Amino acid sequence: MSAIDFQVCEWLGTWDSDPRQDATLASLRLDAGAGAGRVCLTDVYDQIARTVRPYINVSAYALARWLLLNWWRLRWEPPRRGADWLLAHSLAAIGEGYAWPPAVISSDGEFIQIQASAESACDVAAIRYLANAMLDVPAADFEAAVDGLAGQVQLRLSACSGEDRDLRELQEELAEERTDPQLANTCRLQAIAGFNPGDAPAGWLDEMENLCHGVGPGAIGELAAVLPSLRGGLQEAQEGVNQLRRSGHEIDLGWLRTPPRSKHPELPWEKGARLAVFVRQLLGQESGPLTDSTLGDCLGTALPMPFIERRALKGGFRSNGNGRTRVAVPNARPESQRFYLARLMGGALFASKDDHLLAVTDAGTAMQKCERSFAQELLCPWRDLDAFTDENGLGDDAIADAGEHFQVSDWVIRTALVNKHKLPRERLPQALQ
Amino acid sequence: MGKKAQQLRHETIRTIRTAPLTDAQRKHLEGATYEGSPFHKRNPGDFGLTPPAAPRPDKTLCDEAGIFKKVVATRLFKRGTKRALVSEFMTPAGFPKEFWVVDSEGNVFEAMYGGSREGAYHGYPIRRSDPLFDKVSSAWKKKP
Repeated sequence: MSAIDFQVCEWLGTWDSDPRQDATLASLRLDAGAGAGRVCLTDVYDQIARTVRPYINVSAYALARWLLLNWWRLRWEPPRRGADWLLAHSLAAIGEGYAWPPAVISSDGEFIQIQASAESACDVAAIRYLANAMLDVPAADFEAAVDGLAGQVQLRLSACSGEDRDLRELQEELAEERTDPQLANTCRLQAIAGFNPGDAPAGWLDEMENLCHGVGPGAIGELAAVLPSLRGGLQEAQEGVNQLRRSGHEIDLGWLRTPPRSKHPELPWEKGARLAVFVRQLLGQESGPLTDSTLGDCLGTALPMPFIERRALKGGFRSNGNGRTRVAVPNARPESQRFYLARLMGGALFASKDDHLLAVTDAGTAMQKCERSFAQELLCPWRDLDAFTDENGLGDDAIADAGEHFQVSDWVIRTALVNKHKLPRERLPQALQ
Repeated sequence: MGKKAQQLRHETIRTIRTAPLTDAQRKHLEGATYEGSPFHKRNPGDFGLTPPAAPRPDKTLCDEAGIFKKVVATRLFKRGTKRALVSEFMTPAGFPKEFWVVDSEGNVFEAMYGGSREGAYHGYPIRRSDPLFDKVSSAWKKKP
């Protein structure tokens, strides 16, 4: 069973104004997730009928068209703030006068995230959405589901009012972009950076290509993900890379070995945790806090490292294939440095050998999720934290003690506890909730 | 790349126009008329509209936004044509495809071009979960 399914339960048809919308008015159901976690995102309370139903009566054409028009950004762009981002990622933005689900679609590159919020009251409609969900869907399932819906809509239109030329041309253009590797890469990078294909400013693609030669084909995607947050855009990104290349401080990541791949598909955070367990085995210390001495020894440096200055672009740069990685540590606080260096280790394991830049960013890409999860599990193994909090409790003091014990920050402890459902989300600092 | 998608996005994705309408365009817009749609009314009879056959589409409802009478809807429509917070995309007839109006309760309404004659629009409230809601609310406050 696919992890996401747009199901036309029944074609309804109507006589409103636009023949394409009229012909494709349908009882439509959207399910996502797997196994016990599967959620019907179109579960609604109908206050006129006074009943709950798992479908909504909407224009399948409007939905299919919106999914196709925003395909690249839905498929590749990580979450960002702002109404402009939401217009390309929130189903509620489809408009046309329908009460669409308040569900947001984003991507880390490997998986599509769907976040839906239940409504406490009807919002200028007779229906109220009931589903709360945060789901990860394999990207391939998402692609197939959108293709399937678009195909169904086109068949319906062919049967009713004739094939829709706009939709067909859109499908053909998208198919060409997806199947041509160079075109697909260009569209992907623009989407990650928040542009619809073809909308990037003149010269942007050439500059990205130049940058790619310097940082590597995987790393360029990480840069694209943070470009919107860099005031100076591409120029600032290039300067950031140059600064890393010139950094006078190095760490040794050459001893890291990639473990065998997982036999099962894994989410980026699952991969990060698994890699951390492996590295702990490499270090010969599968449990307990990692001291500065142990961490420093394996990285070939003394901790704490000199703090240079806060920089917009953070990470490491490796150029010789021997694992020596130039770094600029952007934190003064020891526990922040440890987490940053641990993230670099995770990044080194995630990145391909062709990538010189190991980016450490706030973006919601698969690599960054893997890095964060890796660092958390490496420095603060869950089994140990679980036992610590079983013994000492979950109060603020106990959490602070755990941070001191594992030499990580308070929010690393809280995030780990929340992610494992041992602490309610409300106990996170406001900014992280 | 993306040419067809760009063209369709320009025509369909709702974007608030930044450049003011010309005097001629404003005058043209003020000649627009409001036609209700029964799909956006829980009780379409109040507007003199024929109720749609079941099952009804899940559209937003003017009743749920406190608009029960056609005269009130028409007044709101006229306020919208005067304030002229309109879409980038213009129809071949020279009317904006959409324009927006915010009532005194903060409800945001969208007027969509299309009806039984040229210059006719139908309207409906837009939901708070619609990202355009905040954009319109903010633009409405700034619009002279």
